[in-house]
Amino acid sequence: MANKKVSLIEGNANLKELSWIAFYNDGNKLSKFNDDGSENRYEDIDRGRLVRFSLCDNETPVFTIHLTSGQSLIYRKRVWARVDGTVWHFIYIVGWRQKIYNQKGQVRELAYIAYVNPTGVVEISNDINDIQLVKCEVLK
Amino acid sequence: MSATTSVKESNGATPDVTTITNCRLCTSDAYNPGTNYPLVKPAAGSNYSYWKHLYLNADDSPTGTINNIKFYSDGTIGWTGVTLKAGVVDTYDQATGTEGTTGDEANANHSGTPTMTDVATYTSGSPLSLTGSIDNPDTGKISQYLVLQGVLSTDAVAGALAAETLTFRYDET
Repeated sequence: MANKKVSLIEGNANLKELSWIAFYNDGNKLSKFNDDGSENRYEDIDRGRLVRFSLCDNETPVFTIHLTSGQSLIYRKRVWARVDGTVWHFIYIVGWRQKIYNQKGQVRELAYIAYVNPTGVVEISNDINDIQLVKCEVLK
Repeated sequence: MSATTSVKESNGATPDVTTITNCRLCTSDAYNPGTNYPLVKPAAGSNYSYWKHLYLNADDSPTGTINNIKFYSDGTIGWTGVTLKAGVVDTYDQATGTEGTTGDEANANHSGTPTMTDVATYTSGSPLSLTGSIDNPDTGKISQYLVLQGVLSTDAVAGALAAETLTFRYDET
């Protein structure tokens, strides 16, 4: 898959915020928001049990990725703001990265990154250099 | 909930910090003096605005982390005879110059010797990177300082310059 530059320049901050739900292999799930309105952190997701991750409009999934063993989830919201602080656009970034070892023990890294615009446009990239990993995303 | 962020400007010796609503280049170490301390066209060579320090701030804490901070323009600064330049520094150094006439050039006079580059070269596809991040539950300054300075040539024309659009971009978990 070729690298693809993200072209989401024109923006609209009057977009709907999306939530997320992490689905586990035992049938349980962790939602960003609990029923009492309290919030779970992305960093709280149990990656050892994670099999599916959905961006949601309320409870309705609008974009889902399925994860197999060895694939490490990537998620963040990307925000564009003017110097006066006005947020004028945002998108969601969802994907995974994975280390692949060959028989000689050599490693290469695969990545799948979806740029999900709340308007419905989705762009796909494998350029891991476009993001800075947070601690829970670092592969061992 | 998403974190609330703002862009701050630092001025003075302490420094004093102001949330930016109007970032105005001028010939004083001041946040926004209105039409006082206008930029002055040089008789020869270059004059400068006083340099400004801007940074991205977390007004409340992110749920997780804010990182991957970028800064860019739309690729065009339409100011005849005035070039807007930017660089990054880790440490604040109060702007200097001759008030009402010209600031001192940032690269040569700022203690952080920022490499000042035409802001028009920083675009969405080729932005300026600012190091820095913040993790829950912290708030406050996230990024390095962005140093902004206007450079005036003898081609500068009198009158107010049109506002230009500058963008900060960051990721939040």
